[in-house]
Parts: sequence; C-alpha cells; structure tokens
Amino acid sequence: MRLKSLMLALAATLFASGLAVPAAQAAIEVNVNRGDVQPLPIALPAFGGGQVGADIAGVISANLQRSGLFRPLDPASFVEKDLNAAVQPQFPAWKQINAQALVNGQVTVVNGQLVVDFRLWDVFAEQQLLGLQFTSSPENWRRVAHKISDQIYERLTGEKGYFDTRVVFVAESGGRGTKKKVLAIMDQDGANPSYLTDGSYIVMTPRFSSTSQEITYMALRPEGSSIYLFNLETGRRESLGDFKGMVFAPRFSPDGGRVAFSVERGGNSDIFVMDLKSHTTARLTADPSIDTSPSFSPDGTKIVFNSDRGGNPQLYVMGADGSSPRRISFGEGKYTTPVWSPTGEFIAFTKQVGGEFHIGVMRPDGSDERILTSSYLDEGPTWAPNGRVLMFSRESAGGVSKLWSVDVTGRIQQPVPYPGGGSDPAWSPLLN
Amino acid sequence: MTRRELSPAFLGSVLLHGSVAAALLISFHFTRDLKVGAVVPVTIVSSAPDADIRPAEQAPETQTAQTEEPVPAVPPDASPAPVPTPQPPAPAPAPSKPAPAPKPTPAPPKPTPTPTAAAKPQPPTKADKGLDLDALAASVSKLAKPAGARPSSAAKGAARAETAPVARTAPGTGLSALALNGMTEDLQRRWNPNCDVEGGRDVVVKVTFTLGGGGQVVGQVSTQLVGARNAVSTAAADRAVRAVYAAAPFRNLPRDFYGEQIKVNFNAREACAS
Repeated sequence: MRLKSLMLALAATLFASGLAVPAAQAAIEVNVNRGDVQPLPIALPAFGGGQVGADIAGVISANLQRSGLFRPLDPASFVEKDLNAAVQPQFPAWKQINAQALVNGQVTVVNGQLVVDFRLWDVFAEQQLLGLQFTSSPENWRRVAHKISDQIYERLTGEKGYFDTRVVFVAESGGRGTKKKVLAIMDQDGANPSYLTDGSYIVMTPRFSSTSQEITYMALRPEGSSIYLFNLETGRRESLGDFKGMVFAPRFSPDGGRVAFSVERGGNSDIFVMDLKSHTTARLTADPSIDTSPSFSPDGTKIVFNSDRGGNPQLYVMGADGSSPRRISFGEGKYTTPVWSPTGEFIAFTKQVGGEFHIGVMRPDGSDERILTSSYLDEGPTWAPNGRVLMFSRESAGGVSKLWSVDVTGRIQQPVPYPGGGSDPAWSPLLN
Repeated sequence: MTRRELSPAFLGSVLLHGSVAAALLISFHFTRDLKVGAVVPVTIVSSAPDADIRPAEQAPETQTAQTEEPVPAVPPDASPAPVPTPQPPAPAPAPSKPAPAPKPTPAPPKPTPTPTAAAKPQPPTKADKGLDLDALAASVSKLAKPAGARPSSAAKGAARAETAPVARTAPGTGLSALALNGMTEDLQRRWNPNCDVEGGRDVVVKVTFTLGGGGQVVGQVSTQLVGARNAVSTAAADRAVRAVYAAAPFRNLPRDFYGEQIKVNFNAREACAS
C-alpha cells in the first residue's frame, strides 16, 4: 500500500515537472509564414510508345505551362532516362533537378485502340499521387493528353482543370473594311480549328451551352439578323425565329433550356428570353435605353446585363424574370459585356476608361473590382469552366484582333496559340 | 371558272413551295455535313496498374518516409470510378541498387495506390492523433524553462514574429535559437504555397514529424488542416509535406532536437500576403 502511494506520488511529481511522456512529445514548434511562391517545377519526360508518347507529353507540358501554375523542366536536364511506367522512378535523380512532381506514362495500341497509362509522382514524398489508364481512338491522342492534363492539374492544385475543352469564336481574316468573319471552333490550346460557316455573312457573339455541345450565335445578313442554335455533334442548325427588329447577344441559361438575347427596335434595345421547348418568349426589360449582353448566374436565378439607363453603359443585375434590376458598377468609364463566372464568384466585364479598354472582374454585388488587362482594345471575356482563366480578344491599333487569355489574378496573361485572327471567344464546359 | 381562277396562283404556289423545299433540302444536306465539331470520346478505363514499389533501398531516413504515408490518402473521388483492371505487366527489376527483397507482384489496382514496403524496419513513432495545440504549447513552456536549452519555448510568440530573424533571440541558448531559425529558413525556401488558386491562399497546414539522428524525417508525417478539408486544402497539405521532405535532412541542430517531434505551422495566409 505504501509502495503504491509512493509510486503515485512519484508519477505526480514527474508529471508536474513536465517530464512525463505526453509533455516530452510536444517538443518543438515552428511557424513558417513565408514561402517560395513560384510555378511548380514538374518533370514530364516523353511517354513510352514512340512519337505519340512524346507528343502526348508535349501537349501536357504546354497545357500546364500555359496555366501559369507549373514550370515544366527542360528534358535535357533529366538524369534518369528511359523511365518504365510500371516501375517506380529513381527519386534521387529527380530531386537532383528539383522536380517537385514527375509524370511518366506508356502508350500502346491494343486492338486498334490507343491505351495510355500515366502516373503522377510526388518526388520528395516519394509516393504515387495518381495512376490512370485512358483509351481512345489513335487519332484522338490530343484529347487524351488534355484529360491527363486535367487530372494532374486537379491533383496538384485542388482546382478542376479546364484543358479538355473547346472554344467557339469568330475567326477573322483580311484587313479593315474587307474583314471576313467565320464561325470557328478549336481546342482550348488553339489546335484542331474547324470552320463552321463560309464567311458569306457576318457571325457574331457565339456562345456555348453549359450542358451540351450546342452553340448559339447571331448571323447578320443584308436582310437582317437572326439567332441560330447549332448542335456541333449532329450538325443540326435552327433559327430561333423571326423577330421584328435586330436580334443579337444571345446567351444560354445554365440548364440550357432558355436563351436570353436582345432585340433592338427604333433605337431602343431590350432583353428577352425564349424557352427552347415551347418557343415562348418573355420580355425582361422595358426601359427606354439600351439594355443588352444578358448573362445568367450559374444557379439561373439572376441575370447581369449592360444598360445605359443611368447615362452611360453600366452593369445591372436583375432576377431571371426581369424583376428588381439594380446597378452594380459605379466606377468611371463604360462597362460592357458582363459574363457571370461558372463558379458564381465573379462577373467579368469589358471596361473602357482613360482611352483604353480593360478586362476586369468584380463580385456579383459590385464589390472588389479588379482590372486584369489594359490595351488599345480588349473586349469580350469568356470564362474557362473552372472559373480561373478568362479568354478575350485583343485588337491592335492596326486592326488585327487576336485571342488572349488571363487568369483571375491578372498575373498570367498570354496569347492563345491560334495562328489566325479571332474575336468573340466562348469557352465550352469540360467535355465528357 | 374555278379552274381558271386558281390556275396561275396554284402554279405560282407550287413553284414557290417547290423552291423552298429544294432550298431546305440543300440546306439540310449542307448542315448534315458539318460534323467537324463532333467530340470523339475518351474513356477512363480504370486506374492504371500499380507500379512496382520496391522495398527500402535508400538511406534509412528516406526509406522510412517511403514506407509510411506522409499525407492522408487522396480522396477516392480524385479519380473517376475505375472498372477492374487487367493484371499489370510484370514489373521490371529495381532500376538502381539491387533491392534486398523485391516484390514482383504489384498490389491490386487502386485509384490512389499507397506505396508499401513491409520489409522496412519501422522507426519508433509517437502517436500524434488529436493534437491539442494549447496543451502542447503549455507543456512545452513548462518543459523548456527548467531545462534552459529547449528552443521550442521560443516558438510560442506571435506567429508572424516566429519567422522574423530578430525574433529568434528568444529564450533558450543562442545556439538553439539560431538553429531553429536556420530550420525555418530551410522550410521557407522549400515551401511553395499555391497562392494563385482560389482558397489556396487561406490554408493553414500543421505538419508534425520526428527527426532521426541524422536530421532526417523518420516515421509518419501527419498533417492537420485549419478549416475544411477539400481538394484545394489537400493539395496544400501535400505541398507542406513536400517542403519538409525537401528541406530534410536538418543538420546542425542541437542534439536534443533529434528524436523529438517537430510541429511546423505552414501559414499560407501570411505567405501569400507578403
């Protein structure tokens, strides 16, 4: 009994003096409040399987680099050669060149189908982060590369990718006055451009549906304007119908079931919405001013639009039924082409002030306005499906319009690698 | 009379309708040919077969890190639902040093395979689940005062001051404070917070690990997130763990640091704001 008491007393003393085991485990604490913020160094050696393996790695590398969040390392610096996708890489060789992540893969053709295995490795933690296999037709290797890019991007940043997407736009050729405008579509990296109209009439404001491979656009002919729906998979094209006046600026609702657009009559433009099943049309604005560029919120309950009812073009938000319009932009200059982001966090817009045009973003209540770009003529922003990157057109003083992209921080701004001229881009949702 | 009255109009109408029908047919044919935008499907068949995960062959410290899972497993939804995969190809032998006990049969396919190396000796690890930070801070203070040489007590100031070099003249010996400062700087140089991703700049990750005798990371590296765990914060936790491994081994620390548990608070809010 006395021994037990003595033991208890000893234990109590040890605990009180901080020598007990739990206290010893507490040990040392360090706070790290600074970092080396830089694009993540990633190694992307050519996949095994010949030229297509090298091509796939090249497309992935270009995608990740363009995002601005990754820095693909020079393949000439690689120490370990001839990686085998079925064998764990030699991590010290990749640490040596400071690769934080490594992607390797193997391409094979099985029964006429392209089979691509790839793995994503955390070099310093020495663990596999991803291992996936894709199959497709051999000519479709670029899409496989885009899908792998999306997987890598999402795993290493936590954000959804946006590489397996397409952009519909107006391809432009010729100079001022003789410009030919053709409806076109391409991969988000400028590859695989296809032309959907022959240039015999002007095409404007193409917009993607967020639920299907369908676009809507405005066609302007000498006899008037029309709004069309065009299904990219079936080739079916239909007009929304005849309207008295000029119709323009169509945009799908998030569920793809409605299209909002503007109709101009006698110098007054108002916003209408059409139900695509019933083809019934409702008028949303009736103000003696120019109301245009409607864009739905991602939940479909609100519409942001541009109106000069206050004296000059500003941004307004109203209910999707046209109720309770209220102004959200109050800065200097003119605000046009508002587009609600797919995440709902921001509204992108074109702003004209100080003799320049800018692409900017603001919160849906008008707060936190940020100007992302400035040039002679930047306009017409469109959001990537992850809501982090915007594409827009930039026209030089010489009249040549090119497609550019910028991220929501404004830090990563670059031309889209499409060789020709272009304007009015509209980003697709992620492909299935 | 009826025939005479209708004849011109009827003929005109037929001609008109005929031309419209022809135009529609031509137009229909034209649009049907425009399948240029069609999407060719890509299928995610399954998770790729596991790579050959070799048993330990490097220095003991890195081996240990390899055998343990340094961060929580990737959520299953990080990869699309796989269909059972065919057996992976036979793995090639270990590419560098001959492994003492190579495992020729890869583990069954999983969306996020976890390296395993059962042959590796397990270093002693200290359970650190349910870390009570306040209790830890209090106990460290108690422990450090009598010893007079525990630099951990110096880490109890304001978070911002912790990384400021001038703040390191805290209690404890000058050597300990200096060493801890050096460790902090090593971690700062290796930590690449993802400030450009929405939500990435708000993450605070607490990484806990133990130092082996050579300053290497031994045993399990655990992470704790302040706030919700989601894809962005999971990626942020990976980056913090990566910084620890990249900065190791931590040499030139006072002897009593080794074998101790180290807790590093990676504060992206501060780092991305600076």
